[in-house]
Amino acid sequence: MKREAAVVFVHGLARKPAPAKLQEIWLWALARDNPMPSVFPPPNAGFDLAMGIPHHFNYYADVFYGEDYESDLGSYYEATGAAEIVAELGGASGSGPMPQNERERAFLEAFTAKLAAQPALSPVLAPVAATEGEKQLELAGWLPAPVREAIIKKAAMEAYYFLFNKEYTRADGKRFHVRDELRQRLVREIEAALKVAEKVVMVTHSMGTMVAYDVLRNYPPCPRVDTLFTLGSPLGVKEVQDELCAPGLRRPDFPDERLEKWINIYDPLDPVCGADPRFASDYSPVNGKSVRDIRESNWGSWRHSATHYLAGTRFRSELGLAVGP
Amino acid sequence: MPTLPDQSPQTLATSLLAGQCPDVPPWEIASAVDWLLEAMGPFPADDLLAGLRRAAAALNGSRQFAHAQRLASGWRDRAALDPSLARMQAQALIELGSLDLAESLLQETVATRPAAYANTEIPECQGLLARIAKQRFVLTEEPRALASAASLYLERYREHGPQAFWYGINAVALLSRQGDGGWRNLATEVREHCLTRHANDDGDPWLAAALSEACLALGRCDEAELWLYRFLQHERTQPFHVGSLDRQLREIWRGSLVGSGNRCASRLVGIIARHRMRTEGRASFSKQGLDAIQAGGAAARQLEKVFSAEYGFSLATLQRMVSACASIGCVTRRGGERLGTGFLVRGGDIRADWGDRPVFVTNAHVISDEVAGAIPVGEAMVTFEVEAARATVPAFYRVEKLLFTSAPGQLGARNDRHDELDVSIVWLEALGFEAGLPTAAQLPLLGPKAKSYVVGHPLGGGLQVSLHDSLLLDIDDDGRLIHYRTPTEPGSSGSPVFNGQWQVIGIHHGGSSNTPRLRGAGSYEANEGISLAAIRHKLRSLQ
Repeated sequence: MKREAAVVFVHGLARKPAPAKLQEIWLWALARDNPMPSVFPPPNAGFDLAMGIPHHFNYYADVFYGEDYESDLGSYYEATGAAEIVAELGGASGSGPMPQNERERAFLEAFTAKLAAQPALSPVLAPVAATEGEKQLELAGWLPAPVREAIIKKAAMEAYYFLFNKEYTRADGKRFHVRDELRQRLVREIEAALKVAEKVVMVTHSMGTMVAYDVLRNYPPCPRVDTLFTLGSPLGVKEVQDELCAPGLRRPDFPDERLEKWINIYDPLDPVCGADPRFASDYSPVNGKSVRDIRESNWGSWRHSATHYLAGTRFRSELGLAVGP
Repeated sequence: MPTLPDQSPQTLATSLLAGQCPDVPPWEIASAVDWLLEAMGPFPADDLLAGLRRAAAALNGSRQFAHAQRLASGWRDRAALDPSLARMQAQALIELGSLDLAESLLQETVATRPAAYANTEIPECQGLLARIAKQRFVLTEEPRALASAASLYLERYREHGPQAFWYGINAVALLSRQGDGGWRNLATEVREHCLTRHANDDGDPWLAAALSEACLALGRCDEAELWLYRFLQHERTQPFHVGSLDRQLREIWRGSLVGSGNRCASRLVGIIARHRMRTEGRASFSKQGLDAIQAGGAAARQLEKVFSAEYGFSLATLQRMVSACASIGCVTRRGGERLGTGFLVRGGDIRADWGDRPVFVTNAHVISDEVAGAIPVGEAMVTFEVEAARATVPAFYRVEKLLFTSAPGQLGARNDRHDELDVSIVWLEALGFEAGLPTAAQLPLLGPKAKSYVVGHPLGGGLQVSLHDSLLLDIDDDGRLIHYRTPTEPGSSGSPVFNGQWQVIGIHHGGSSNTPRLRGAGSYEANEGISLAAIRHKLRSLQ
């Protein structure tokens, strides 16, 4: 019995819990009722995929971190997300990136600079609204300098290794060509999902959004996907777009050949989005299809939390439409 | 008994005549009973009687009361009153809630005074009359009914002596409700007798139950608890025995999980509730309980402590169950026998052009003009117990129109035509209230934690709702059959099957300890429901 839709999740940067545990956390975050009533008005009912939507988790944290799984899980369940920053910084990351040419060096410098310029990573008061139209002042959160630098360094490293298909040598000596490896893994998950469902909906976060766009636009073996959700995505950063742009094009475009719909959920204070959390205008429409940017609060001092994005009412509503008939 | 895939009605009937009730779904038992009714012919032979008595006993023993009733009634229509069959028919009618019919049948039987049965059937019939009187008191709370019940039980006890301790303990319970001081001596007498018997032979679980009640009566609460635990742990205690004691403690002794009521009886009721949660995964609620849950507050929190999260029934679960109850109805016949369950959903949720008007969904083997043993459409009536408990006069709704019906197939039999759905969908006349259960768009995923809830009205009196929390075992590849593990309960045919979010995914229709697996060979203990998805699919294909 083939189901209507299946969901493929793609996680983001940094060290993660073991695959089963990460999946459990994401599913919990999506299924919990009324998770943040001060930000999202009740009922904000949870979305329980066990009620009939098969789901697959594309896992790749082991490429960088092996089985040195994140074990301090309390942060994932906390409302503020502040502790999640600390969790994400842990773990061995091997040797730092060593650019081989000018282009690579330029990418690293520009990407790092863009993240460093993020207001969320400096003590600024910024207007923040839970939903479009409301005004509410909130302290964006102040992170100590070493923490800021570590976040930026980690994000830059992962993006660099992926976009330039570098060979990464893990702490235990195992090697991967990162872009090749991540592409293959994701396509395998999508193919497995299509065995059990008529269509696939992808829910991707952080660096996972780069992998998703890359396979949908640039990787012929990738099957057709119905809807792509990008949460907290760096795909608005020009340096990233330059590397993911299809050959021969000056600007990146909507991956029409393999995708039907693309919805981008962002919090303007999400540090990993760089200064460009919205990118509908960056990706050229194709056949009338373009990215839809939807703003939704990630609340707390760390605005990049996957579990917070999964709690949003607009995201959940769009997901419901995507997996429906 | 092992179930062979192609057991003919004759084969099943032969088993019944030998005193064995085959472990097959209700519609197959109905076919076997049909076969027996035919075999009786207009003038049944006397030598068939012994077999029919064994058959009726087997059916009652397996709680297939509707079929026992039909069989015994078939004999009665064709031949002279047989006290044994009449007694078993009356037992079945009582279990089905048809007290008036049971009572007149018993009175007729006793009045004939057949000498051959003076020491066997007649005393049993008299005992059943006392039981009916007790049940009437439970339903009406009238003092006259109480007095009548108390005196009937006391008569039986005096007639048979302390060895008939079950009459004695019932007399104690009813006399204490009357406030009649004589119950203390009686309770002491029953307790002493039962203690002696138990010391010599502890094989009868009812001794422990009677001792628990006797100690309750005498205010020896710790001892009452001890005997209750012994009763619950006894190897011969069956779930319906526990249900029976539970009702006695609630209905006569006024034990309750909420509010004040009799403190000692309430402790015992709480113990039973936890036991049933643990051993059967099910909870039963009285009207008081349902009202308390709906109201929330202190009483609801009291209930939640009993059905706490560790057993899977949180207050949120219980509240969703209560709101679902308004849409769950009992299917009865004119005489009032409760023969099945069904539920209301918005018509458009099943077939788009049925719009907003609620439809009532039940099994075809419950309401149908074609399926053996089913209530004909013109005779079927539905009552909604929650509504009935709140109204002064319970409303019985007749069928206005049969919208769709599909006869049952075999249990576990795969079928990619989305046929053999065992469902009947009707409009009810003049439904006076808004109702309808939410339905799921998809069937749930299977997994170690996949669960389903089945809510039904168990047999045996009063407003009771039974909530089963069961594991989803399997769903076939056609998305038509759902298997889950719940305690079987005849009369719950047609109950809604809910997913973990309290949306209807299917309709319960039968089960056995040898249900064929949906994948591979072999069989297992499983109950089966037909998915709503398959019913929707079939209806779309007919448009």
